[in-house]
Amino acid sequence: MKQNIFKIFTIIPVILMTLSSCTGYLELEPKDNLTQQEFWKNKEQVSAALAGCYGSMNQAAFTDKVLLWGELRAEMLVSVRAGGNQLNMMKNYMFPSNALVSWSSFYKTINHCNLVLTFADQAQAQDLSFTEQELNRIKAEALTIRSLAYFILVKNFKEVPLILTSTSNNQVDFYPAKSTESEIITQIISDLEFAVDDLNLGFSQSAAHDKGKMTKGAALSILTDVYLWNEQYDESIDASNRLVNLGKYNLVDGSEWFNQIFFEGNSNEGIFELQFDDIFATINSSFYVGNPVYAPFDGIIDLYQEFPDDIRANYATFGSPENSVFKYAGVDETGRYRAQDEFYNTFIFYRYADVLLMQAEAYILSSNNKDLNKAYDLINQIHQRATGVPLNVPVLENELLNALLLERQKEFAFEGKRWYDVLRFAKRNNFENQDLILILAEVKAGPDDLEQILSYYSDTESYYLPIYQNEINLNPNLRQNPYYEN
Amino acid sequence: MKTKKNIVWITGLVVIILSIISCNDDLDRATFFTTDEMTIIETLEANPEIFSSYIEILEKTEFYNSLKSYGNYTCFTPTNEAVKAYIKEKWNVASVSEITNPEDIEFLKLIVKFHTIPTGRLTSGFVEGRLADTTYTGDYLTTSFLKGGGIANVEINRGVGLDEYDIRSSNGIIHALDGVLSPFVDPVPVVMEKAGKHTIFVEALKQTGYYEVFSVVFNEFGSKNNFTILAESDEVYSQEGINSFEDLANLLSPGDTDYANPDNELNRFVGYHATQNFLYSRNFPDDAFVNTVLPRNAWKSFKTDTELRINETETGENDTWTSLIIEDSNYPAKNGVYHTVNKLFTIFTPKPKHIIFDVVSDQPEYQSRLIRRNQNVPSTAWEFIRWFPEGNKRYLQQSNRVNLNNNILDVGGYAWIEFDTPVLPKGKYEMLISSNGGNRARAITQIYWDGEPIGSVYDLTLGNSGKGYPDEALMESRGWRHGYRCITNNAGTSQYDVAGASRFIITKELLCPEQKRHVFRMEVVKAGGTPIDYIEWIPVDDNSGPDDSECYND
Repeated sequence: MKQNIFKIFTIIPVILMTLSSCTGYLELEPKDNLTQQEFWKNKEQVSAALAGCYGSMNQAAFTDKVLLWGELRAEMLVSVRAGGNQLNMMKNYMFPSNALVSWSSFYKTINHCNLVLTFADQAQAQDLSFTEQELNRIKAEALTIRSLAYFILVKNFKEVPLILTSTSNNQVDFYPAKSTESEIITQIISDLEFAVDDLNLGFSQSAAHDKGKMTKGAALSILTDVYLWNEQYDESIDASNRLVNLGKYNLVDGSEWFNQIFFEGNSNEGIFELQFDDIFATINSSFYVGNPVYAPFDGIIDLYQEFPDDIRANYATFGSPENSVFKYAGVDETGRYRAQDEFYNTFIFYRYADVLLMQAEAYILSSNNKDLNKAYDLINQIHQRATGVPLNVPVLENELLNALLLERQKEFAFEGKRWYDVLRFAKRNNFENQDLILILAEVKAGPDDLEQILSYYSDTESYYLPIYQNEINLNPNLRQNPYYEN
Repeated sequence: MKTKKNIVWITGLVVIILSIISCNDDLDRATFFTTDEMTIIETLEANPEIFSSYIEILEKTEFYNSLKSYGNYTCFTPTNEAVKAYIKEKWNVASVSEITNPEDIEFLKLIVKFHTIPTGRLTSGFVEGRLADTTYTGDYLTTSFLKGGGIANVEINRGVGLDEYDIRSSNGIIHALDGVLSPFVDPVPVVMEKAGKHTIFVEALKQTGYYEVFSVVFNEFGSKNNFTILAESDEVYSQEGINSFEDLANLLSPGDTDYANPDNELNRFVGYHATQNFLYSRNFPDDAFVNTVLPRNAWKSFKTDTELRINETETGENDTWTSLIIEDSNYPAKNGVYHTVNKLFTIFTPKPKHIIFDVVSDQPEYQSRLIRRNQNVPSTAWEFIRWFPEGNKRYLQQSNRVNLNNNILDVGGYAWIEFDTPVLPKGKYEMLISSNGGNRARAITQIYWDGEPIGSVYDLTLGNSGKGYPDEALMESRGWRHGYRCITNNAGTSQYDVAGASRFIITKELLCPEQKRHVFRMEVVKAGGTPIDYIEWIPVDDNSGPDDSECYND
């Protein structure tokens, strides 16, 4: 009996101990990381999260696609040693398992922005030094980045899931279906129109801050582009005029065209340029003159022969006889090239010349504000800066449109714009100008495959990319784009 | 005693338990697969709403189990509606089960064989032309993009479309078809006649007797003929002002109506329209001659970056060549293919040019895959190669061989071997030969040209020092030259750097006074192995610089 009492006295404390000790043990907060609840408490954290939005764009997974989606299906580049996925895209032979169509890096950026938009408010409530104005500016920047990402997606896929809430807990819809093109564009427009007011005109710290962050100018450029894509020409004119009226941007002098815009970067003409304080991997690996993946198509070099003094020609846009993309790989007009560890380029999304030419396009196509003379003046500004001679075309709608497309091709060669330019021109009025795309096949074909490549370009649905097969496998609500359904 | 009883009981129990346990083998009577992917048959059976009729055909023709077996097949599988429509039209029956006539079942077998390829081919491998492998009936299927709209609109054999494609299974690829492919039964002229676009040309075929010649599917040695015919359509003729067979005959052989005579100009014209090489449009060589059925003549095939030019004159004038009208070309038949040329295709007299004759790859039997690598065949299997004494020989092909097209004709134990050369335009040439030499077991031969001995003996036993390798000048003085730099194996080793692949200069002055095919013969001086790679003719032109051994295309 005595023994039993002794046993009971030992057992009871042991039981009590185990019961009480459990509480602390069951807390599962990670000790080596910040959690959502601990983050979003002050201004600095929100600024850091916004920097994450820019940072997510600032990597090859994102910039590769911005460049290649905009160039490969058009006729600007030929392959030196491109991989199979890229070669297939150059023929517009696309299929859902081609990893080049993966959009995940864009949705990463979108989610970063959504996180800022969802949680910035609660941080501001907890941080007295966080002003309403700063909060609005940060949210506007996030909105603008998100709009840019969606606009790129819509130009390439036409229809994608429109996700406006952050994926921060398991209550969100992990299986979103696609939204229509017009739903997405409507969202982009309303976001941008809202953001413009709250955005800064610029940032005084440095040119890199000024060009590398979303400003009023950046939002208005994207708006001009979106309106033009959506055939809302009057709105496009209005947005571009608002940008011009900021009085902040001007064309750089012709003699400084290559040096200031492309070699140094962040010129007066630049509106939004991604900044790289490290090697810009996409440009470096694609165009380094010692071992390029792509070279300019021969016909591009011929384009610049028309005007002997075109400052955009040899050792500016391209390098001959090296057959290089000099715009990114070169140093100066003597034909010096960047070494492999000197690719500190910026990546230009929008510059003033682009906005002026978009405005010209809108003036030609608008029915209420049609002004061909104004359009001529705008095209001529770009033309004369480069060639030194006035543009010699009749002021008629079709002639001006042709001159405009050609001028854009020469001015923005290799800047990830050509395919969208061709597609935008081709798709007007129900693909009235599909020929613009069909003739690409002839440029790309060898002696045996004209019919095949022509076939890949013949269906207008094929001008939009397939949704990557992995996404389709993971998301039962996602429907493959029509051309690629098998 | 009691313990003994217990032991018996316990032992008995243990034995019973053991037997019960041991019998329960989990692996018994189950079939095991190396993969849980479905086979072709399982995939088809999983989609009866599309494929049940074809399954019935497979069962009826006893190919059902074959497509369950290990392998990598391509199955072109007609959908239920396609099968239904086909058998309705052919036999006027509503379902496969109603087909009972043994002859009809034989035909169904032919259909299944015609729809199956022994290697897996995804649509990414489809081209404008033929697929890379033959079906089990020995025919090539063609794929065409002419309808536009990308892969989804590809037509097989210019008539049947894809319903669903690239369906993967563990033992192959399935492409669902919206129609049944009709197996090829007709030879080229019959197909052409049925299509009805080339009536004048078909009439010319008949009048000259070539209709029968081109309709022979198997030659006297039992191997399959393949003809490639270039024909003018009636539309092309009418552009030239020819609106009937009489117009054509009057234009080409006025006053001579003996069209069956091989010397008749119309007869020669028709003979010039065909070759025994098997060429879909994309198989035309980049820069070479193609021998025609008309003896001593050839087409000159040349591809630029963007187009195929046949018989381009080298006058520098534009547009002196003929090309194919692709929409009316690549029409397959049982024994070949026909194309439509875009203008009157007259006999062409070429200028001498550098010709490399790969003794294996340039043979029609190689091109139509009748003779495969390592396959020992008698000399009768080759139309343009002969040897004595009779005995089976083979060719070797492997990507690590430092040889033109990575193959050689592997012959030994012969007294003589001879080749019919390609047509050589008249002119003066250097003639060289390359084999794998430099080994004491190799042969020493004397070369004969059209029956006459030519050059010094070809000594394949010579080592480096005997040839003067690698000193180019010394080699030249001893009658040898380096191999070409551009002929390499998969590891990048080039013939230039392989002493054994050096070219032997048979003669520097070979005069060919007329355009024709010649006979190139090697007679043994010392017996031994002779792995022959290629023979070449380099025009001797006063203006041409020295041969720099970079590449033969220069």
